[in-house]
Amino acid sequence: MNEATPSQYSEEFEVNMGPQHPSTHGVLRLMLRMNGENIVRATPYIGYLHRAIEKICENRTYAQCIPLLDRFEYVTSMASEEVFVLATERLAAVEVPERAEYLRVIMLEFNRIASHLIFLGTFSLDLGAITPFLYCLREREQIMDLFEMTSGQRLTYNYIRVGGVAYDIPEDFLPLARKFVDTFQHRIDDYEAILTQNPIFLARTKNVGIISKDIAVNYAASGPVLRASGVKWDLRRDDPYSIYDRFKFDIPTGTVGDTWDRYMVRVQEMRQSNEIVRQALDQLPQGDYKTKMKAVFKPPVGECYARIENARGEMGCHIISDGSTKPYRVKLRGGSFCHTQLIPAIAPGMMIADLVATFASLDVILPEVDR
Amino acid sequence: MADHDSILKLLTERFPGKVSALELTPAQTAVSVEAASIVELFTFLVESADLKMNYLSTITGIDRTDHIEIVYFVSSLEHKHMLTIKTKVDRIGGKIESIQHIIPAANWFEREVWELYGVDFVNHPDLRRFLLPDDWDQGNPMLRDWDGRDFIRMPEVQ
Amino acid sequence: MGIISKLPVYMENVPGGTIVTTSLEKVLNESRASSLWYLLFGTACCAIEMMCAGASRYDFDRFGMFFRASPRQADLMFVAGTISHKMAPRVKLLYEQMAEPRYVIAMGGCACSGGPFYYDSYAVLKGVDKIIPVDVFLPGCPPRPESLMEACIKVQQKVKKEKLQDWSSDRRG
Repeated sequence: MNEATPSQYSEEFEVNMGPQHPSTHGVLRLMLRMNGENIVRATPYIGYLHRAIEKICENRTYAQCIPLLDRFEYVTSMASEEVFVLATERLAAVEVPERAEYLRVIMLEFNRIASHLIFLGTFSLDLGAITPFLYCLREREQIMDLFEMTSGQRLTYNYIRVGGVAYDIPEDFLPLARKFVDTFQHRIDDYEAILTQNPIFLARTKNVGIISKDIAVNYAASGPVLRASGVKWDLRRDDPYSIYDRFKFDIPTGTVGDTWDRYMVRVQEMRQSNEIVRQALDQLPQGDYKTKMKAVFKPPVGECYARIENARGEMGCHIISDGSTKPYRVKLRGGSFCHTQLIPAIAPGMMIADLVATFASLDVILPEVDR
Repeated sequence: MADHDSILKLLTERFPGKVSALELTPAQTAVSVEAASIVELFTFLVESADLKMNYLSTITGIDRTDHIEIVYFVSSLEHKHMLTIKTKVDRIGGKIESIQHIIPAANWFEREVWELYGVDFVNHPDLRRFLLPDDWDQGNPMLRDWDGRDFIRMPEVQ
Repeated sequence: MGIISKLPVYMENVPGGTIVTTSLEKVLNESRASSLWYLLFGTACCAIEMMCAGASRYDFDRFGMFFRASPRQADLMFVAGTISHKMAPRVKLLYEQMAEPRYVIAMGGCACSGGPFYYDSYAVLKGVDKIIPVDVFLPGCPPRPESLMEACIKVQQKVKKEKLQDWSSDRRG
């Protein structure tokens, strides 16, 4: 990597990147202090998608909050519903039927795959490869079909509710899901055949944007970013929620913490998620899919922080209840928030094209940052 | 690996009178701390070999109408335990020491609380406009009694 | 015959080929409508559906639509997602950077009216038509890729009806 030392022939200048730059995946704005093509200092400016979801949640009942939570993290809406519902259920000590837990796990893991497919597509698009994008979105459409036949929506599902799920799966869900799980493992081989050992891809990703273990932990990175830096930390295993302790799965980790490691961790995670879905489909019990709740839901006074392992890391929700129908305070925590904060720490010395690759590999989505 | 009781015991004995155990529903390991000793506490949490709590999940502000409560969620990736730390500051002109130099991740969390609740974080290097527009002039929107542009309160459901 | 069959033409066979006589307006409009390049600009959830519309199953390319990263090369802008008050000046700037004639589709509830953030969000612009002129409003949260295609067909129909003398530079504010 080139050192960012002032040269006698050049002077430093500022480059504004965003908030509508295609490679910022939304509306992040970066002010880059440049020396030639090397970054001296990067300052992110956020808030371009601040929608005051936390404030609105204080103004709505618990059931009305769930659709808003869909828009908090729309690439894995199921997870953002789950984290809110999990916190609420812990507050009110609601029992969830077994079948509902399994349905949640199936949806969550499918959604993780869908999210990693979006990552893989846009990541390769940012590196200049269009083919993987088309491949990934093709498989993602099949998952969207499964979601749509269950919840009626492609992106914002409002499916996971307090005390269970909104609907049972339709009859033809299981055969289609099985078929997807069986074919998908070979599809991942296809993506890897295009990318993993591709020399251009390696040149753009190997040893680019290294995030050391210390920096990752200190900046509260989580999820694939933390695991790529070599920390074996997965909330599904280390702080189990729902029924994740019943499934067998590996936690892939990287060694160096470079862009390639983060790519590889996500690809491995898709394989693992696929296996979790397969196990959940096999074990899926019969029974109720939701518990009967009172028409007006009032959890007792209390507070709870629930956290789950989302595709982008630790997603947390802190709910404070004052015993009324509306939450007193909802705080949302997304992995992207901390990953955006990493940029000023790792960008200095980097080339601007490497920043694009690194930022894409962090898989930041902005609504999770701005809320 | 320290469990619930031993964490609380360790902390209350180390900081007598400053840190006290909290009972929350549903049950969780929680302590309340005086705002003045927050840096001391975090230095201990990070450096203590028994705790090694250097992973900051988030910092939350809560407007309790007579004071602002600041909640820190901190956990240890090694020992796999989690701690909730609560502290109180004044509602108007509240001040608390920044912990950004101990855990860098606190930087943005504190900036957010500063902007939305108006709590001043002393020694924070970078308290600039964060989520709100640059020309924002309507105060701190997350306060409970805030009433500004475009905000309609929903009726209470009975 | 493809495009020629859609135009009012007079054709005359001459040795070695055909001479086609038609109106310039029709030819220009037909070709513009068949190559609407859109600006790759999305803010929130709708951007994912916009990506899906451009990808494998829905395949926008068959409308002659292809994304451009720069507003200076784009004819059509999807305002895909929530526009906050902080973002609003940027959207206006982007619109002004686009070359004329330019078209705007307000995609999704947020861009049409503020959507789910209408009543109690202090930060969201309640409808993108408050800052830039909009040609097609497309409701939905988010709209399906099929509806996005219908919105594009509506824009194409609009383009095909335009008169040559209307192309003055300040026509659309």
